[in-house]
Amino acid sequence: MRQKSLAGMPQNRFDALLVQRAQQGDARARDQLLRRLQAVLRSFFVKRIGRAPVIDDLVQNTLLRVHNGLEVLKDPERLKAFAMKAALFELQDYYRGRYSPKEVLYDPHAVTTASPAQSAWAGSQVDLERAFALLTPHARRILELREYGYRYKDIAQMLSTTESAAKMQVKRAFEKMRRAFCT
Amino acid sequence: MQDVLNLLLQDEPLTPVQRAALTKDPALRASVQRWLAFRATLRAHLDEALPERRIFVLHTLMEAGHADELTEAERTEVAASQGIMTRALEQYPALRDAADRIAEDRAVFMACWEQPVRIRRLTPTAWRIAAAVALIIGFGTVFALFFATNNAETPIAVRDGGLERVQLPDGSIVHLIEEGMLLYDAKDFARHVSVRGNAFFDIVHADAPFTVASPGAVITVLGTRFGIQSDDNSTMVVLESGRVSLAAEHALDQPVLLSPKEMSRVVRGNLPDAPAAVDLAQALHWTGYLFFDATPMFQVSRVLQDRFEVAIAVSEALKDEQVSGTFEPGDDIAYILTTLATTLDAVVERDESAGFIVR
Repeated sequence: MRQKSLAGMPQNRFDALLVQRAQQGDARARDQLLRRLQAVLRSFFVKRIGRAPVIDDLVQNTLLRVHNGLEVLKDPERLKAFAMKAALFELQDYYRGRYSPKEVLYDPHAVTTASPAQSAWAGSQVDLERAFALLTPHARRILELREYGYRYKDIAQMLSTTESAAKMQVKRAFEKMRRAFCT
Repeated sequence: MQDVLNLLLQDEPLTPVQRAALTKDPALRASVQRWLAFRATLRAHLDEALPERRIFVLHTLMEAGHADELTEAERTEVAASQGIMTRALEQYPALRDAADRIAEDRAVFMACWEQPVRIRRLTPTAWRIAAAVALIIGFGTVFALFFATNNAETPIAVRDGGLERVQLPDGSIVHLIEEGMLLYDAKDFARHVSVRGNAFFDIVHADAPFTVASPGAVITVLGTRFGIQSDDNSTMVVLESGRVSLAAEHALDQPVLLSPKEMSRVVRGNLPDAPAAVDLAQALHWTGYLFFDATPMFQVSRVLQDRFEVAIAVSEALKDEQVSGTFEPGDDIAYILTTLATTLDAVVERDESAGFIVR
């Protein structure tokens, strides 16, 4: 009776039995499972965002998601999809939160000293449609992706362009808006 | 002006120079404020359009034909959010690009999943490359680390016959074996441990060096795997992969450098012996690890039969094929055989009476 087909990959690196043992509270199995998963996650995150210091956090947070959800995973065979989604959710959280510690760029002191006319631009008062009308569709995509959380390097890959070309589009967009709204 | 334009691209806070430049030019400052407000507004609107990126990921997986990877509950969630997703994608064209990227993320994850870990044919060239990338750090650092971490350490010990697997805060693994003791500062871990007795180390690579203090000796590494056997007066190190520096504690400036499959010994008060070549399987047998280095499959099967007390048959066509790899004490026979067979493009069959067959 043939049990294991090896054409392609070592399926039993995360075999159902190991997952079941981990789910049933076998600490050694859980440790082994997370250890093997850690290698996959590290490889994944390095491939997506490079060897950044944040990689350790992303791996740990994803392992935590898997760890916390393991008990409710009904089918041990579905660990791959479960772990994949956990990694993708974590990556999206990373993109979304990437700006949070850097909001100081939006200098609070400078804002408070702005004139009433200028402060009308602050926060939600900005008319996006008016601003978008000034931009090329390409520049708009770059800016949207940037605010979504992607780095210029990612954006360049996504739009099949270069990082410097993407940055140049942003500078041109700024100049356009500057000219349009200063008059 | 160019500097100010560049600040539009940066993620970091304004530097004093940039801040001063903006202060001197009120018109430019106003433009930058508008620009930043525009970005903040766009971000807020994107967040409003896509309140849960988790749903966006699930929606994208569904759209890409991977509905089977979602649970029933997730599929229901996606269906309930269909209207929100459609509106967001219409309103912000770049979200189509983001969706493509998510689909690509999935493909990359799957490729990483399929990729075997810790098993590869290490050619002599690969060994040389592995050795070349390992870096030896200055001994001043070693000295400082050695003496800086003698306090607030967490002791972990095993008794005779015991085996304890310890994961250190940086992800490195230590297997303590038979009367081993490990000391490290868990609260403020600075990649330094002290060890007595026998232990096998699997050190994760990092910019900072990892140092091990053992009787009479100090070992410095970056990312590597090695075994230590020590008693009160001596330390013996056997290196499996990477590169390590071994020095007598009284003469840190006179280390020996070990390459893979070499060993050295330090007797307290003396300098380390010159590195000597070893057979890893024999020299590290005590660790419980299994080491195969261009080992013929027929020989591998014998080792595994002895270890797991199970019959293993290897087909004639594979018996002389050589495989390499390292397995931890906890790895089971099915995992080991499957992993090794993968490198040979072979299959493993399980027969209730005859055990495992590799062919």
